[in-house]
Amino acid sequence: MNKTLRSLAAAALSAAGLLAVVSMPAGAASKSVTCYELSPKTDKLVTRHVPARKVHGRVLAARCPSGYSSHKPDLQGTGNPGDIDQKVPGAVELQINGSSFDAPEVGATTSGSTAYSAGGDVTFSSYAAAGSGTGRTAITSNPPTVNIGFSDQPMTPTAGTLPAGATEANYAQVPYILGGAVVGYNLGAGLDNLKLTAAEIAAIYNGTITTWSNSQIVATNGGASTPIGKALTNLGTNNEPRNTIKVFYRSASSGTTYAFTDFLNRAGSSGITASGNVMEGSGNKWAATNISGAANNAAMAQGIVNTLGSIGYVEYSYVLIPGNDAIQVAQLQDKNGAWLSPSLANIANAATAAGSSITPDSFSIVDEPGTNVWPLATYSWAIVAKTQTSETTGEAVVKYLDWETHYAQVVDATANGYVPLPAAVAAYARAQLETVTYNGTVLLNQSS
Amino acid sequence: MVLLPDLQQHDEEVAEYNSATSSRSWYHNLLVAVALVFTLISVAFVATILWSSRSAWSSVSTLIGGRGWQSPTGPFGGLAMIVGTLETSIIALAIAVVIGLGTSIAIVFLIPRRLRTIVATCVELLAAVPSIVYGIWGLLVLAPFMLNTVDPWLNSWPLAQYIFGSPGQEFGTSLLLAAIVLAVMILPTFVAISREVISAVPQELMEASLSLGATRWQMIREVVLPTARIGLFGATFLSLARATGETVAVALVAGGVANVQFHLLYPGTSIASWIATEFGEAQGNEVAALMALGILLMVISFALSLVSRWLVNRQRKVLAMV
Amino acid sequence: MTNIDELTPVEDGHEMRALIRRTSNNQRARRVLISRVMMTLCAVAIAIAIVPLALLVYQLLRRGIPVLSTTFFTKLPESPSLTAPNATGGVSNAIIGSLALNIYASMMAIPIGVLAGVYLAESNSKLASTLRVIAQTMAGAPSILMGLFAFSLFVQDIKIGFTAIDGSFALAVLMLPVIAISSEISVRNVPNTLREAGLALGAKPHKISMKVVLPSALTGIVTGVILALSRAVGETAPVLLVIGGGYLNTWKPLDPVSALPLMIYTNAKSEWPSLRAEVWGIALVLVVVIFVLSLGARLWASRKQQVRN
Repeated sequence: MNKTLRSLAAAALSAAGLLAVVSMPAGAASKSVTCYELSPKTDKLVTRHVPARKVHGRVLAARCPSGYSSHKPDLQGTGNPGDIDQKVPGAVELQINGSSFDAPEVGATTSGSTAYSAGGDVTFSSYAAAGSGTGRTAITSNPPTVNIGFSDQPMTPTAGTLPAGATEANYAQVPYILGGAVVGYNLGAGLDNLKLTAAEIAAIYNGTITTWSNSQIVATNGGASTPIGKALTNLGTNNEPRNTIKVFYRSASSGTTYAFTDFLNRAGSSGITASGNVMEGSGNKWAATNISGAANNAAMAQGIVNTLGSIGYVEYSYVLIPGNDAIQVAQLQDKNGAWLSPSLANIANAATAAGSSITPDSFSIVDEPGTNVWPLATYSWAIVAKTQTSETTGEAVVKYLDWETHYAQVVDATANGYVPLPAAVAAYARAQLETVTYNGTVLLNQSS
Repeated sequence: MVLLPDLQQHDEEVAEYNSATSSRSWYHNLLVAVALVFTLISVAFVATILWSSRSAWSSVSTLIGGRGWQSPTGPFGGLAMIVGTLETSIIALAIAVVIGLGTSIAIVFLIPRRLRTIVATCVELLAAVPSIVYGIWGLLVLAPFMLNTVDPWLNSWPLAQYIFGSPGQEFGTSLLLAAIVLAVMILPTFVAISREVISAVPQELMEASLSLGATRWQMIREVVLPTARIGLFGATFLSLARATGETVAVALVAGGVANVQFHLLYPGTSIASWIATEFGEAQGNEVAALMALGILLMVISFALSLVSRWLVNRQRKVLAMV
Repeated sequence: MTNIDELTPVEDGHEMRALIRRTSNNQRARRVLISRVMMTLCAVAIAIAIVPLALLVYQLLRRGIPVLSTTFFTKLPESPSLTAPNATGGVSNAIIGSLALNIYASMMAIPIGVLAGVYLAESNSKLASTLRVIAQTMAGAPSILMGLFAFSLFVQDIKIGFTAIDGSFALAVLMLPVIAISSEISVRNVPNTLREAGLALGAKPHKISMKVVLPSALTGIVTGVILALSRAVGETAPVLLVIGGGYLNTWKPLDPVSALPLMIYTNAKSEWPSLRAEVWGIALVLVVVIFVLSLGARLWASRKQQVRN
């Protein structure tokens, strides 16, 4: 009898236990979670299904182990395996041309070891860097001669940068890189870090100041008693050939020129608004008579290096190139009047001061208020057609730009002499890229 | 005596045979067709460029006489290019003719016969060096040398300011540099042709003058050069033609500034080099203007070619008479 | 002189004769001096002529040889960056591009040029004399005009874009007159005896032309073709405007291509010292190729001439 009772009790207990287990509420099952690997090591995103935990009899939601998260990470633009920016449907060669301002970055991301290649599927034509104007006309021509046109200014009618016959709404304009232009000159030893006000530079390009020993320049540099002031005055008294200022301008439509003219207008009250023309002096001609043209930033840099007494304006990374050490960089004033030498830090400050709502209608970050703000900073843009005619080309185009604005920026920009895009601007870039479609499908989201 | 009528009859038969059959052979037709194709291509050469340039001819005076080239809308003035072409070519020709004449005289009269073929081959090989190579040599080697060494010396000449310009305004690449590079480029061509022309002067003439007691130089100056004169003029025009058409070398070293420039150490441009440098970003009307500049270049080149051909033919006749 | 002495024995004839002799000796001395000076000047001229050309060859060798390497010949070009300022890659796309352009150009120019030259040599018609003038004029035309022609025809009218075919056509138009003129000269130089022998054997004129004249003229024709080719290989201006500066190694006629002279022109103005240095290597390759072609053509022609003689 005892044996029977005991076995009955055991059976009842196990039945109850079973019932209890079976009747456990469904909520407990829902507390298990799918965990995604945060930084995948292989091409496949590893997922783990983690069941709910039981702690002290209560069912708690599952927790993901470290290195995993319950939120599916957006790998796009991270450069990690699984990043869909690295997948395009087929092989394609993209044609590119445009601004020489971002030529070093474009070159580094389109050829060589740091290039975007989508597993070898995407190659790029050699970047001719013919100037922002060429970038704009090439992308808007019929048929377009490039897949991506690079221009330091976006195309808008108000800025004067929209080529005739083109419709702004047909193009997605994407901020590509952030950098600064500098005023370079070549006077030789003992005359480094010359201070030049924007008004003086405007006067030089205007032909009103024609010699380095001009009293205004001497005064700005501390007067005739300081070493630099004395050296400048001596150039005049010794009648040296390098005393005559030889002015370099850009002989093709240039975005760097636009930013430069904008700077001269805002900071130097030159009275001439930038309008996208080749020469931006009054009457579309620089009034300086002792003047010579350079086709792009590279030619301008070479010109300054080879000509004693010359002055010009180039993008910052060009003065960092070995072999261009002869280019001396002038100090410019920020809005508070402090004298600055260009650096990536104060170019970044210009972007911060300008705020993060950068759109084609408000793109200029020249002469921003604040301390330690470089007055000649500018974004550079990549322009693509909103309606692509080929799926492979279209995907390659948007994915390259997304990769560049999110991944390559962070990794390479500083090394190439640029400042990475602020996060908000990069987000704006992605939003613009998402407007690019092929047959109605948004190309950026395709996982191919 | 008996054979002659037969031979003549044979010639006539052959001529008849030729005329009777050649017009029907497929071979002859093929040749004529090919000749027509060639002519067609040449006509198209002129016609397509002319057609592309049509919108620029509405303002011929600006094209030829205008001083500024305003990209991209116009006006497009070609005077700076024309003046630059003339200046660089003429100075280059002057340098090349003086040195080239001396060189070819030296080759024919000073260099021993055994070495003459080697020297002649070297000269011809140098004439085959592409102009881009001369261009980079001018830009990367000669320009710094000019800037540092030659320019200061030139600027120290009396009256230098009027010829060369004031040193404060010199950029390094200049019209004079372009002229020098052109001179080095056309020298081998000039020497090759003038050497042939000079050695073609009959031996008897030279020996006759020597036997009359003339010194070597007298023989050269009073017999050889006058006899070869027309051929030398032909060589001059051919070299001039090459200098005016030179594109990339001038593009690299002349400075590329569209200013009408009479100071030699200031930057300038030429027709061919301006077309090459501006064409890349030209649109619409500017393309037409550049094509029109091309037509100007074509006219200059064809005129020079005509003159030099006429001269070469005259030289042949002169030698035949001697 | 001694005759005069004997004929006119004048009292003060000694002084007169001495005067004449002295004057003529002085004049002769002066003429000899002038001659020596002028001949020295000519020697100086040849020295002046040699110096820049020797310097050029020296620079080519000194700066060009260090650039040549396997990477140079086999890799595609790269853009140097601040982190890798010497990473220039190679010029394989330009080598293949130049090969493609010149092969296609030869395919177009040789048949038309040679046959046109034969026609010019064997015909006296109005068309022939007109064509001769045209060919001589075109042979001296600036090469940039051929580029404008190709642009106008292919890019503006046919709207084919910037492709290898455009550049090949421009180069073909460049080679055509030169091949025609040299072919005409070669055919004319074939001795008439050969033609007459053929006629005597009863052959038809066109058979004589094809089977007797052309083979004899072949050496001269080939020499002319090679010389035209050596000019086309080095030309920048015709291809500068129309080939599109392509990046890949491609043989397709409708793709954009690069070319060796174009690569020199683009890189010479680059901001990177490593690219500017690379230019010399490309120039050296170009010059060597042209020298081999020119020398080879001449040597072959002279040997065939010796064999014939």
